[in-house]
Amino acid sequence: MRRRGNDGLVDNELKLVVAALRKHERGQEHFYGFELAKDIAALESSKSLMSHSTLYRGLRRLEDRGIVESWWETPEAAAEDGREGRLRRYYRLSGTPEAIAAMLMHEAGRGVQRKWWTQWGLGAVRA
Amino acid sequence: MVDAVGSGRGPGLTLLWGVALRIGKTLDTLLSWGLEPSERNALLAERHDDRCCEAQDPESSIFAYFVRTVRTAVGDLAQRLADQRVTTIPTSIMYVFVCIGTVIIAMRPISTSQRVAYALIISGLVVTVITGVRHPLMIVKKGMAAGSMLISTGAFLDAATIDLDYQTLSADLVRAVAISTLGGGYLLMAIGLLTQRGSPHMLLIGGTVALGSYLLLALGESMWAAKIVAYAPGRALGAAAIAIGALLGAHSFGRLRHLPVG
Repeated sequence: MRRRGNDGLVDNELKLVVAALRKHERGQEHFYGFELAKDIAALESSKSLMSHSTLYRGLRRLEDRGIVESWWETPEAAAEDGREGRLRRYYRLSGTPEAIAAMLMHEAGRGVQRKWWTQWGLGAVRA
Repeated sequence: MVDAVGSGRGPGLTLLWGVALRIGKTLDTLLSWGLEPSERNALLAERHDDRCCEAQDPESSIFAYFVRTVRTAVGDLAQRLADQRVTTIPTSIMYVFVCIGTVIIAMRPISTSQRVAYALIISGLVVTVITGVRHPLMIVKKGMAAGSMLISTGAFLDAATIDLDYQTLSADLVRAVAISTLGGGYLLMAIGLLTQRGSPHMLLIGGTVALGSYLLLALGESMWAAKIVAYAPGRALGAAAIAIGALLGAHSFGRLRHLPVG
């Protein structure tokens, strides 16, 4: 497991960014935490989802670094979706996918991240 | 809100998923205690939505949900113990360890003066834990000063009446020095808290003395536990609990001085 440097992202945070980039590639601009956890589990062929603490702490950190931005949906939108009183927090990439991909390649351009790049099929998003 | 969720396998929520969601929500609530209210509300709302999504997802299993919940709880606990933000929660956890250990040791046949000493220490720990858990973002002068005073009095009495057994003499001496120094540290803190505005210098000195004595206490209790474990495993367990609490205390105690006194 790669440890966090002074300003770097750990593996789980990089996974979140790559999963978000894949969503963007498929035309889904915004997403929520559970969707990302499901995508990462599917990409890793794992049955277990990322724990809540890792998932949401990771998203907070990505938000602090300006990689994603978040907002809460309105109660009306939740009610329309059949979730009365259960608000959802949505996220989206805050920069262009190319800029984020470039940052990612710069940040961990070796080993683990290159492996994801090929295995997770991020063909269209190139730095 | 839990009642408004479906299981994804039928029109309503199955009983098992309902219970599972409530367990998850309770753990989230407990483990987020003491965070800033806005941050805590956001955390609870986001996790609740996540758990409901998992309950509704036809691909999810209850076993996987529980495994994820346990991993989350462990992660949260580790995060709270090592959190850079200062709250009284880690110190309260260490007080609980010390309190359990003291109760175990106090259950053996001991003199009346020692029983009084342990009663004072346990009362002080309980008062401090209750105050710390109720007000995690500040040092409440009244509760903390009362708890510190009780612990200090109990510690001095305990140190004065400690049994010096020749078989465990070295451990007993270390414990006696640690407990009396601890009493001194808590006395200084109590005095610091009782001054009109809460004297930061007195709190710093008292906290430093208490912190050093916690390290010494951890050493003394570990030595004592190792020496008596063969013939008094119960007391050894109590001493081990105190040693763990003291080590945790050495980590978290000094940081309390960053909290506002009110």
